Amino acid sequence: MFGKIARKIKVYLHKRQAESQSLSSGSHYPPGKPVSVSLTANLDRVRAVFSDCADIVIREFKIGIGEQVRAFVVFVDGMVDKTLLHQNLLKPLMLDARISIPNQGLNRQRVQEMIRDSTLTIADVKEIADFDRVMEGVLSGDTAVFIDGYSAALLAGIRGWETRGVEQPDTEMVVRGPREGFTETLRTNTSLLRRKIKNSNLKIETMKIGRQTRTDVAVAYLKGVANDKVVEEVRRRLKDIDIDGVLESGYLEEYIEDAPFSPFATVGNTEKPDVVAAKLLEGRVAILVDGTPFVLTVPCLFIESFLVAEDYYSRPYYATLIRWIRFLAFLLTIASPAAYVTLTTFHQEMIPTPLFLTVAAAREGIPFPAVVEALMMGIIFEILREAGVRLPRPVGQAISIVGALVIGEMAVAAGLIGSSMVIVVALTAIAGFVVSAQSDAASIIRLILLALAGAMGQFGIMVGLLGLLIHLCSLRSFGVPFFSPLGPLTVQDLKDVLVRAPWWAMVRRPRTLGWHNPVRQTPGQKPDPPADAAKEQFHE
Amino acid sequence: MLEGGKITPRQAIFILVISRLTIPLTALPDLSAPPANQDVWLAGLLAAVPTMVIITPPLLLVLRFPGHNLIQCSRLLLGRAGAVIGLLYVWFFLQVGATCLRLSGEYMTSVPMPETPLSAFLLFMAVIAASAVRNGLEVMARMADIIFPVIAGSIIMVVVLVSKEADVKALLPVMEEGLSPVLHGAFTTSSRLVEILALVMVLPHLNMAKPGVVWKIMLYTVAVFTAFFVIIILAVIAVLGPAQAQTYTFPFMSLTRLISLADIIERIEGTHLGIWLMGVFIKVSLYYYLAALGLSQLMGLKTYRPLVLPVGALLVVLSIWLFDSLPALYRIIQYQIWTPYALVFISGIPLFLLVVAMVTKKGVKQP
Repeated sequence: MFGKIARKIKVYLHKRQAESQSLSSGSHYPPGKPVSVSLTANLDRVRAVFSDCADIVIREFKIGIGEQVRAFVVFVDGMVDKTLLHQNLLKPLMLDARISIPNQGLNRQRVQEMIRDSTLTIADVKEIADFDRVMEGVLSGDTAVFIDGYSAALLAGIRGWETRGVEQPDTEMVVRGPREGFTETLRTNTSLLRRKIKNSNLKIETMKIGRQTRTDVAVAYLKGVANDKVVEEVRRRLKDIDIDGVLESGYLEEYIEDAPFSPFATVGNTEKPDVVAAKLLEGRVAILVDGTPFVLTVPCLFIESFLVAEDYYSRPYYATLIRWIRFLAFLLTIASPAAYVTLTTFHQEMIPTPLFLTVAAAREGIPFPAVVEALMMGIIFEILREAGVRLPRPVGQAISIVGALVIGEMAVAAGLIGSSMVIVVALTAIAGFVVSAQSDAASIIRLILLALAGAMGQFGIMVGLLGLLIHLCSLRSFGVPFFSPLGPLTVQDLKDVLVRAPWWAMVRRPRTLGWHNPVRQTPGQKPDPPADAAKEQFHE
Repeated sequence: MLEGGKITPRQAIFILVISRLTIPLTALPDLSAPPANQDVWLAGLLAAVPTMVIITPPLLLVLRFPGHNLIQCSRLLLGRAGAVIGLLYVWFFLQVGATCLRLSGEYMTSVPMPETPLSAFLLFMAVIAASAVRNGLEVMARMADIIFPVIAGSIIMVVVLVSKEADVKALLPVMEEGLSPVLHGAFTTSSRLVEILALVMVLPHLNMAKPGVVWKIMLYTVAVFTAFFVIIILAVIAVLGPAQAQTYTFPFMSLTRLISLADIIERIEGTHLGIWLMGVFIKVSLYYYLAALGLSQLMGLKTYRPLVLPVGALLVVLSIWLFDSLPALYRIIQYQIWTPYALVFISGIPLFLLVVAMVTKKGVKQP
């Protein structure tokens, strides 16, 4: 049924796309509008393009002595490093050009080549003949130099603007491990990645997406490790996107994901360079978007939500234990209200008698059925959370007081809600934060299971869980089964799912991702400390 | 081919074993089949031998026609008449599915939720099975990958936890009435492996459908199933006693009820309900899928998906209509009726087709 609706929407979208493309051809940048030979013509064009743009600076000047060459630079105020502009662009052109030996005999025929090759002391200078591409460069923060008599412009890359520094991301705190997080600037982000993987096989391809915003998007992958087909598929899906603006990677996520109607995200995201580097090393592809610290990674598996960077930095035993705690927490957060309802209303006989008496005593005199109680508390919790997330800190305390005292204490004291229900809801909420990557999907599943449990008891829960399992098993992310390595079962990959094997034992990359270059280290590197006799030598 | 999905040999084994284990986990009709005493476990163990014999004709038949399943083989060999045989099989799959569906509903209404109408359970189960069938064999196989370890682990856990109630003396004397009732029991137990038909139906979807692999799948299925079957029967007889066990409607569930450990692990029949529902789900969806698949092949459809809802409706109706009550259902799955009936489908018809294939020299001859 969903498939049919999806198909209809797809057809509709295609029609829309075809229509809008024919309308909007002007705003794209098709090649073939060259820079004019006449400086005046160029100046007029630039002025026309940037009319009413207060942040554009156009500076006209003359190069050389005697038979001077007219020129002008264009840049966006605030996106250019002014010091570099003054010292390495304007000063050489206006001042040094008069005295430096190569420029002495200023030859009008060779002036542009001279300027490009021996005047501008800037690393990144490009000569571009296409007027629209020059304008695009200027808008991205480059400085364009137009020189009289030449049908091309020089684009100098001296970008520099106010940015947030590299900080520890709030969403993924670690006790042990690198604390840096991505920032809003694409270049900074790619450099953070490059610093982790100093290898020319780390390929970073860029493209522009967004009809109006022209946002830079980079696709990063490790050549020889990532599956070429997946990389090609990522490129294809990104190229197909026709959207007017990309303000966050979430926009792209919705265009490239495999299961748009699923509550589960089949595209991963993270703020930490070390996490992205680890995923690249396993054969995944990363998508970096300018303007957001959240980097997308594909293919994304369900199990990734349960793996945390720190698992791999701390000792394996504790990491394994914590991983099981996370599985348990996920089960608790989706199923505990439903289980509570079904145990108290349908299957009282399943609870040991003393426990049942306690629970029954707590529910004594509660005016609502357990399922209504659970539903109410669940909704109140979601409200409290939503209120708490975006509140300024001073007001936040009010929420905690209202939440903890009024709803927690007083509702129980007034006999509106059973105290055991408060415990269940609190447990659900806290467990939900353990696997934060799936917390939004968990909320939805929890409500569905609760409704089923209220209607059919344990049978309802089982039907709900089986439905969930069917759904999880039917999802794919860029050709990889979403629920692997559990379903389909890949036994060798369980070394990093059910346990966190020691690093020297994880010889192979995950089979589902890096199958064509599976070995990531030399096997048999288990530390082999010397026997007792040899050990004593150190003490001598 | 009707579906692009491929399943691995391991997934096939898991599906077949789960599906076969479903009935022993609840009804356990073998308890009252001969020898009907403490030797039933022995019959279950020996059943592996006749099982390997009766599954030979369908396997040999399908292996002669690589890329074809049972129904396609019969159409290839007999044309129109083959279609009739195909219809018979579709009926058989529907019947197995409906029996299992009804059993799940009866279980739910008789033990945990006596006040809920039977049809509610049937509908819920059918809807969830329909959703699995729509998603295809591959998804069902993946679910089996997850469900099998859960079921296997739970059975072992239940048996270990209940072992302190076990009385090994209940298993004695071995072969009280001699060997022949045991052999008879082995034979009737073997006729319950309807899953061989599932294998020969999904063979074209099997990854590496080489004859050696197929035989190995069957061998492992029989071995793994027999191991669990014997464990279940041993536990049931040792804990409940051979005579007492026959009186229970759901012996293994009653066994689970007896677990009581440290005053906190008790009354865990919810676990049994959970694993059994998972098993039933796999079994119902498997036969539901086979019926839809077979029907679509008989009708010459490109995909079985348009048939999912009609076949599902048929399944629900049949599950209500075929049996008046739980005892009526039990009568049909008792050995007196079931053994000859199932043997016709498991061995009889495939043997006939195999002979036809050999006489007309159709298909690839297997060494």
